[in-house]
Amino acid sequence: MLRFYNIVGTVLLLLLLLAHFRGWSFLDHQRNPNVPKSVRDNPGSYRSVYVGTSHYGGGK
Amino acid sequence: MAIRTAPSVPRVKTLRCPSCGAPHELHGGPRTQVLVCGYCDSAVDLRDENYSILWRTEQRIKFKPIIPLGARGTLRGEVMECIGFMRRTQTVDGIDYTWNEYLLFNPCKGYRWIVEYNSHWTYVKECMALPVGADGPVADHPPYTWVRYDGIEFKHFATYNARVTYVLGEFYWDVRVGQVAECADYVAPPHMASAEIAGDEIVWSLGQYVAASEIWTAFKLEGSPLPPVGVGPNQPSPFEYVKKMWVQYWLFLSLAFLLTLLFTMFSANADIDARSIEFNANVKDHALVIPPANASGPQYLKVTGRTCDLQVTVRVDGIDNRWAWFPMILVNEDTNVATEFALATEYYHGVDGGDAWSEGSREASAVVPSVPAGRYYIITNPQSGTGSEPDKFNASLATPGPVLFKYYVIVKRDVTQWSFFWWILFLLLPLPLIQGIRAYSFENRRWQDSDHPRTSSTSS
Repeated sequence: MLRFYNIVGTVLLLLLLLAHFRGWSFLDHQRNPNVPKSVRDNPGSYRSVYVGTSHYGGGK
Repeated sequence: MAIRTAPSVPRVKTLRCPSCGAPHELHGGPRTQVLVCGYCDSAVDLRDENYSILWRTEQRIKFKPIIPLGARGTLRGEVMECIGFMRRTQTVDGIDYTWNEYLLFNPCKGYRWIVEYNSHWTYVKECMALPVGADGPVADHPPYTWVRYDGIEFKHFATYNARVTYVLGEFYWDVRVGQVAECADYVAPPHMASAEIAGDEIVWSLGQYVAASEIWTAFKLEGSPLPPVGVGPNQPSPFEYVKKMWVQYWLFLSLAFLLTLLFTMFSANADIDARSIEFNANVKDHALVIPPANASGPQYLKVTGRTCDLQVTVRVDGIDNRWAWFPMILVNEDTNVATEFALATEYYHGVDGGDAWSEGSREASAVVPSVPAGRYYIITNPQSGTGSEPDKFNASLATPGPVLFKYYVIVKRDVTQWSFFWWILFLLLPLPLIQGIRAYSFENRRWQDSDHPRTSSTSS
């Protein structure tokens, strides 16, 4: 059990090192591999996947 | 279990029971005093050349020793022969607790005992010196707390009266059914120190827990041992490693902290872009590019160096009882790969029942993972509102409307995140925690039959 724990701990530390070095994050994000060049000139034409999703509307 | 001393007696090898005539071989050496015949339950006085009967009792139930008398085996490097068997009983609240004791002998090593209770086995030998208590060597009534022997500190487990309830074979003292001795057990698993008090005499012995399989192998016993019942007083804990596991936990945590601290100190944390933007009311499309294509400064967000994270922060000033929502797209100009994410801010305040309150945050951050070097721009199309829906555009009103708030977009690269450290903390915690609870429960079960139970039960 101790050996298993040591292995888990070591692997997690290595992952931590890698995460810091490569700049990983837990951000909820989407990758779109092919955005048209024209989008920069017409930013309103691009519809993010996050538009229309629920957002804050709170207050006491 | 105590070892008794006795004067030497004439050596005999075989004899017939003077009571029933049953033949017996004697293996106990010159110190043997008594032979209890298994056929007629008579105790023969071996010190008497005429083998007189010391006592006779009727043992209605005949117990068959698991280790047969005469069986030889090598246990812990010692060749021993089983010469005697006895059962002793402790009565607590009217309930009898009985255990088995096997007397072993080797002409060179002397006497040893194997004690078995609920299939927990202990190999016992005589103490060569008196254990030491808080007041020095324990030569009379043993203390109620602890003793130290051979560098090991033993905790008091139980003090009780042990009554001999069954005897068979050879013994080196005048054993009798019904004989009572006061005993005190001290434990330091897998060791056990025991004191036996008879009159003014106190005899100490030292036991060590033995796996049943070891007994079976040593004496070549048939079948397989019964599984142990409960936790033995000196049974080694299968959770001994938990302390080391906690040490490892703190070590891993310290290393994770140190690594994160080093990355915090030496990461670039470099500013890429920072700008303020006004958010006007009644605008049909709030979409914009950061940096703007017609900007006088850099046309792109230039990310240099190794692949690392990119932190985008939005800070909103002047937002009042409303929310602001920033869907964002980070586009790599060179590869046209876009990363989409969103940031949300809100700030509400008021007075409720005479008490002022506020909630929400005017700032939000997102860390885009693994961003390679290159030229980037961000497209954002913020929305804002006071209810669940964003403000609607009204063509009949002046456009753009007044400035509702001003927001700042700050972009940095190579920002160390402490969230990984907290993840390490929480991911490594459950195993030592669960095993620690199991270890605690195991020790509770060990001590529940002692004079010092860790948990007390209440009865109404």
